[in-house]
Amino acid sequence: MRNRYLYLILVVLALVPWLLGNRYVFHVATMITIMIPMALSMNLMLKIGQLSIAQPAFMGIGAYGSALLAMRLGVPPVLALLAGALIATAIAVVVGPLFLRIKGVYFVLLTYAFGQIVNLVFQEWTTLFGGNNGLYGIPKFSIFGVRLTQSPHYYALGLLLLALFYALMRRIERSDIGAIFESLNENEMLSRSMGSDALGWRIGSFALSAFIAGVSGGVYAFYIGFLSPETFGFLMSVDLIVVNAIGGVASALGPVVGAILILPLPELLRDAREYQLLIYGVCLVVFLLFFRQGLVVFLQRKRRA
Amino acid sequence: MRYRTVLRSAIVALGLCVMQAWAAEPIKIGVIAATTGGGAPWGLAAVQAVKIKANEVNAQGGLDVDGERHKVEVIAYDDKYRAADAVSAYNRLVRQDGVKYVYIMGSSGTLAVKNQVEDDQVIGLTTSFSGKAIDADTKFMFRVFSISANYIPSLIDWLKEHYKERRVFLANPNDETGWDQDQLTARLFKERGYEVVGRDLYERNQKDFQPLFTKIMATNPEIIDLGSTSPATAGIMIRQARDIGFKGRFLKTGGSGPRDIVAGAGKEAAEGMISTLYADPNNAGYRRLANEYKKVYGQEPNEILIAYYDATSILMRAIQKAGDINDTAKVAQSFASVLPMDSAQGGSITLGGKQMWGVDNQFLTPMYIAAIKDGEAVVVGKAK
Amino acid sequence: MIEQIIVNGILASLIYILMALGFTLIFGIMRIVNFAHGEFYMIGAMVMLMLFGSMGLPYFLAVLLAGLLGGLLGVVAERLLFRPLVGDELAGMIMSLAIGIILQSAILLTFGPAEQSVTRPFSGTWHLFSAAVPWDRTVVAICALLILVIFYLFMKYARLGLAMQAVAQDPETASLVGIEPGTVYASAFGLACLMAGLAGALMAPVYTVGPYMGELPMLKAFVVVILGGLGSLPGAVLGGLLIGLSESVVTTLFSSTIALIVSFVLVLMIVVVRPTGLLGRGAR
Repeated sequence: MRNRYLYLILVVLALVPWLLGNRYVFHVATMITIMIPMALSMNLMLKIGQLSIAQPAFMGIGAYGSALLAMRLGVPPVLALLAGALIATAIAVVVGPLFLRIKGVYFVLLTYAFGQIVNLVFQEWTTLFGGNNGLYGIPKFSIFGVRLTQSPHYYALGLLLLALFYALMRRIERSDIGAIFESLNENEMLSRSMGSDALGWRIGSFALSAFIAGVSGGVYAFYIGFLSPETFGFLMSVDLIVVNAIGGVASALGPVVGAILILPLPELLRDAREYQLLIYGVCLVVFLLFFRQGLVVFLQRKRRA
Repeated sequence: MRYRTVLRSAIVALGLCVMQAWAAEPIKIGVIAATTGGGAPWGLAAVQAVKIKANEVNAQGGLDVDGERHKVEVIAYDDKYRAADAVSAYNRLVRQDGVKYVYIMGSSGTLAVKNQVEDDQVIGLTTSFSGKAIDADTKFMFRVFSISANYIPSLIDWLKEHYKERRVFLANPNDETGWDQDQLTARLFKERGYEVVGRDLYERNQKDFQPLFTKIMATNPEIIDLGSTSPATAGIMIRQARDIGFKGRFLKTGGSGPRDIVAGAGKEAAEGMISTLYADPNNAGYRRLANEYKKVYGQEPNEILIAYYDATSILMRAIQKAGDINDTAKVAQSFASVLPMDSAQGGSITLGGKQMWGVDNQFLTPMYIAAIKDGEAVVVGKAK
Repeated sequence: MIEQIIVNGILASLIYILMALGFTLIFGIMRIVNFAHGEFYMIGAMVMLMLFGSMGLPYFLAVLLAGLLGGLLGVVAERLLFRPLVGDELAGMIMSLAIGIILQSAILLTFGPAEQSVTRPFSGTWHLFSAAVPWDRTVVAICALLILVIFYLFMKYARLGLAMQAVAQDPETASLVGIEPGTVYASAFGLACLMAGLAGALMAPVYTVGPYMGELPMLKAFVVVILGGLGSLPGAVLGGLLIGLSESVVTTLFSSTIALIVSFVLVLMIVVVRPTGLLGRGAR
């Protein structure tokens, strides 16, 4: 199926909350718009062949960062959001050179350990982060003096950011940078021999993915008004992996499609929570065995056939 | 007996027909509780208690509010004791299911939705042990039973009177409730002349407590207070402590659950442990409710059953007093005129809390002190 | 107190080693990070709950059966689910994640979420110098040691064991010599899950059992294996001892959370400075 049709479907889906006018639907939709950039952030790393499960940690850094800046220092929300994301990016730039030398499985384990440490810091540094109690009373987001108080507002904000990030990802894919990433993935020696600084590009990718995650974190903080360390743990990585596996890694469209299919599940299956995980697992198995490239590529191929 | 059940079913059927004919708006009560995980004994009892009361009301044809009879509907969601899940459940209850009365069992969930409850003008009913759940500005959040801050002072007094041990070690889980418990008990013990030989906040999902008890034993305590530890974990802790040679007394000043404690620790190890008890297991009023629970789950409930049952009774009265099932502000104000009310197990429930929290949004409930004797919890006293 | 700390540490280490050995075996031979390893531990414990707790089978028989069932499950999983993904490290990892989720939810749906207690087969304590050693943990320790010895002998002298080592070192050459990789994969995975299941069954009466009980042992196995070196069997033993003892010391002197942080910082440092771990071979 041509991408155009897919885009059309997505746009229609995006309008659904307004058509239904139900505040609960807006809530679920807003959460999806916050999580899709997270999936994109993981996708970015997958493009260079690295599975990073540190993304939730960066989201957490962005979330706590923006929240604390807004609450304790009275920084205006837009700036706080940006600053929080930049803090996450800075940390990525600092640990990047260390982590990105390592590849494959070890890298995954590294990001896992990193994520756990960040989580533990959120839990233990109670005076700053509130510990397991969580941080609450985060003020509402406001742009140029306009306070966002309702889910529809946040949904709009989420959609905007989502569109921005998606567009960014697509541009990268199509551009030279994208080609470099692909070559890094496939044959690093060759790409290095052509002059690209492999490590540098990897760090850049890592930093950008951290930035995106940080922004999502900030929006989450302002929207929910409450933060607790558990949110930014391994379970979120599982969700992100499922989304990317099902949607497909090859293009940025993959995580978007995957997210829309997967993320509403917990809400739909709220009455059968235990089944939700079982379904996740079975879906993953099915996809890994039969549709390893993911749904998007599968659909694209079908059309061509 | 058969006749009575047939009669009851007939009444229910009739009532339902009446309901259909009248089609009056149902009163929806939401329950956000941990029905899985460590808090499950409490969560399951909480949900079932509300349902038991709702069934009773519905068997009468519904709640009579200002001449109209309204059916009571209970919608429960599991929050796994996680704040984010509680927020999500709250959103679904209030925005999708149209609920105006929500129970939130856990502390982290309660704090997470605290502001929203006020903004949405939804009546929040919580059993959070956290002091922050209610403050001077709170209008819609109510705590429905007595918590540590209320009963521990008299618990310690009772302890002081009956036992001569004075060296106590405090062990609490490293979470919202555990923190509060730790700070509160440390202060109260010291004020009453006890020596707090040490305090520890352990990781919530831990199982190997031998290093912890090795540390504790080195401080030579006479009493170990397990605070707000969940009952199952408390059971393991007691067993491991005994294995390592602790011969002193165990105390649990936080949430109660003697049955699970004995199951985990074994009768011998748990012998003599002092804890609080929400209900006297032999009280006739409580037994009736416990048996209802047993019919559904096949085992004895956690005694927190009584708190949720009583709270729902109070809520029903308050709605009746307010005369409008949707005017939550009026219902909130009606609590003051509905209380004091009698609990299903006797004893009186009063409204209070202004001194401690700044506003009278707390139900003060009877609290028993129990000792574990031969594997059973035996009531030995009452805390105020 | 020192003796107690050491005893605690060693008792904990033995279980970590059992878990870590299986984990590292799978990685060394199949290059799969088995995220479901904790779940096999849990299955062993749940089977123990049924066989020993409910049906009253004799203790050692129940442990053995629980382990065997775990192993069998592992063989089936490998043949049906992992075999098609040979070579794709990432896919293998994600598949193991999926299996873990499925196992956990299946148990959740069958047994419910509550933690249950298995009747204690041994109680009482004996004393080693000034340290109190509970009997049930002593039995666990002895069984664990037994399993370790048998495992070592198997790897060193049994044909299959040697075949496994060969495949771990160089699969191509191994097949040249006539070793069928498929059989090796299946048996290695099965063996690893057998050990995890045995560990779970042994530990079942010590604490409580429940669907989520595998998460913490999984975490520990992770840390141990990274420290010792992914794919290195002696590394798993060394790592297990180090982590078990250091944890005991840190928790007793400070707190369990600090111990956790220390473990992860250690992991971070090792992977950055010496990714192959203390005793690991060069990364392929």
